[in-house]
Amino acid sequence: MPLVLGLQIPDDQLARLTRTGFGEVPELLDASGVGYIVLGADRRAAGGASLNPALLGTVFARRTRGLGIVAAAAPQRDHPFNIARRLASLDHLTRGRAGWLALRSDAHLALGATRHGSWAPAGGPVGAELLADAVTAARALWRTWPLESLTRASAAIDRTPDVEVRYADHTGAFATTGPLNVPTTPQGEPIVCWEYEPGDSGHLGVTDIAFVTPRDRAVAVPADPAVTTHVRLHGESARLRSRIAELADDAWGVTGVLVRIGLAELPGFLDTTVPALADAGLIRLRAATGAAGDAPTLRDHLGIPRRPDPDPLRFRAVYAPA
Amino acid sequence: MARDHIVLNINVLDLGISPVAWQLSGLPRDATTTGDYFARIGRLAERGTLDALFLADNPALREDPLRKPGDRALEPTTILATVAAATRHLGLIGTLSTTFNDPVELAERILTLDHLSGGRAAWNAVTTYNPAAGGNFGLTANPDRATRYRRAGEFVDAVLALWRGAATGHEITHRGEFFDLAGRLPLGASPQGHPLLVQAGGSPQGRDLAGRTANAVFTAEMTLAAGLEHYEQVKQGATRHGRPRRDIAILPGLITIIGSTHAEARRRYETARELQDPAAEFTRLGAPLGHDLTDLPLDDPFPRHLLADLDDPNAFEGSLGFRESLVRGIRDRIAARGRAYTLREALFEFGAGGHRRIIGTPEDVADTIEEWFRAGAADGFNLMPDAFPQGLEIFVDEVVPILRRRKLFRYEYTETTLRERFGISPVTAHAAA
Repeated sequence: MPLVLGLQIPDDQLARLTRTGFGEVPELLDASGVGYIVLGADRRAAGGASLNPALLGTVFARRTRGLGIVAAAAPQRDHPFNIARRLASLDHLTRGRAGWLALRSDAHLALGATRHGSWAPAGGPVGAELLADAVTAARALWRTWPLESLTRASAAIDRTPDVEVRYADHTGAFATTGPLNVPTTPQGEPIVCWEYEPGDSGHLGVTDIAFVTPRDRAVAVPADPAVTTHVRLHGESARLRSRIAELADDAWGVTGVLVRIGLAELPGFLDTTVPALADAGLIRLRAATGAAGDAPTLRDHLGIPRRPDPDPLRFRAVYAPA
Repeated sequence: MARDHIVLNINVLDLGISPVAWQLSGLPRDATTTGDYFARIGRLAERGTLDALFLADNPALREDPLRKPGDRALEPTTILATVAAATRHLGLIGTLSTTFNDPVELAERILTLDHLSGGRAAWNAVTTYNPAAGGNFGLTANPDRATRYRRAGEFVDAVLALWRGAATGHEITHRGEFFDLAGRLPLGASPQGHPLLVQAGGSPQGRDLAGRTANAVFTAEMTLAAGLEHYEQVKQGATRHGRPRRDIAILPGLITIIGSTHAEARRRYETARELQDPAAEFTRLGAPLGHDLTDLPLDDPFPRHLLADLDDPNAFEGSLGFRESLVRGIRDRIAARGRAYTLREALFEFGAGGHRRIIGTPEDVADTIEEWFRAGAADGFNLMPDAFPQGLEIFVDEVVPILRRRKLFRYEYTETTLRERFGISPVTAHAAA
């Protein structure tokens, strides 16, 4: 099975390009057919400079038409309501190409933050359990305001149940009533990604994609069919092609690779390596975008259907006429 | 008059401040979910050499989108980053709540916007009193006013310390009632050092916070007399805190309904009024007064008890600034008109959204702007057209040229950062403060 290809450029290298408007990086990535870019993944460990991933993603959104844009955010200093709102906004601004890399903490924003962070109760869950609650809260919020309330001509007249705004009523470490003040997006809701760490298996069910290292792959691939696995690889590795071939061949249920690549190596990688991998049937690139700008969504490219749950029709309506 | 030029910001209340902005706009119901909409507004504002694009915000859904499409549908900093990518000069002012954000996360996000835009970003620091917001953040009730403002004061101090630390490369330590933090942000100085700070709020606590920290204040003034008084209050507040008067620009809101002639402007307004739900004006006048007006007789004298001084301002749940400005405006009208001033007239004059409103020609709008600026009641305005894009187009094409001819407004942008454009002291002067 050809694999989806995601890329991750070191955050500090991108940050250094700010004053030059990132050169042609967004346009090159977009033209290459690479599936998605991940912004802010280095925030798991404090490093050099880093721009806010969602806002950097927004600038990339204006300069690309098909590239998936996955932005990191942690619920450590930001309530899931705010994260859900920002990522859903990015999803609208990309016309359905956004993803959330859910981090348990953001080393760049830690500055003495406690393990439970600014919003969750002290003494409650921490780590993967707390992050899973944040994802669950965000997913509920993402389903509270149907976009059809604005796009279906008859919505205001007919008020069928599927266009009503509803409460999320999420109770957990991150309780939130909602509704979210961003409507559902062109791909329904952003794709959720998660950096696997040993011991996470019990919590991965909330995510769409688990990023795992080659070493963790054997234990990390979740039993849950709703969760797909993308393996992290280094773009400069001499074994990159054989690694990808191995993953494309195997029966582990891996559907993609996330390749970390430096800016210096990026042009060569996009010009030579990516077409060669695609020609060999090892990776699957995005279809070229037509002039109308009707690019497939990130969800379409990944082949990840929208989850059936939570079913918003089970939520309380906010404005339904008495 | 502190400046040679008027400051003009466009307050993009999504499709406009009119309750029927969506109908007036002629745009699709989902226009405000697209980046293209805001990029277009940004480019239009830049065509008129306006100072900045301003976004209000509330972390909660305000109205049923089935009844009132065209309201806010995207998070403000993502809208501003979109506008940043579509423009070169326009300032970017985003409202973000101190009640429902974290100072480290917010400081980093707005500083990123400042880097991405080449030094054009500002944060409008507010507290959130909207009861609908609390539940979104797991609260059963919002914190009371005193707590909100203590948190806001500490929040602003923490953000400014983080920004100065970023600009100077120093780690900072903050220990307070609400926040404990130590370290520095993952970014250095922005092209303007760090973002500007804006404040909006007319409560005594809000004005004090503005005098101490803000570079601009967005105010609600119904009359020139009130505008003059509050202008001096805030400027003196800045002086008391050892800051130069020029470091804070005072910008009342101005709602505009513009037509080529008086009659045309009036028709535009009447059309909107016929389209809108009659309850809209009751809500817009009643909510800031803290009263439900719906069952009151329209043609009786305006009820005086609604204008009485509050026994306990801290217990008032709405905005004290909006209330004060409205109460004063209506009292002035009653004093001028005697007992004959009715609720119907008050709804017509003050039911538009808590700010001064002009229904008139481009000349009328320019006259008001000039009058307030020269009198010393405003350094500029936060403009609120009834509906986009027409309300902004006519301002850019017809009001701006008049202001230019009167030497009150720029023909082209000459500064690269918002700090330079507003004439605010450079960061280095304050870095050690």
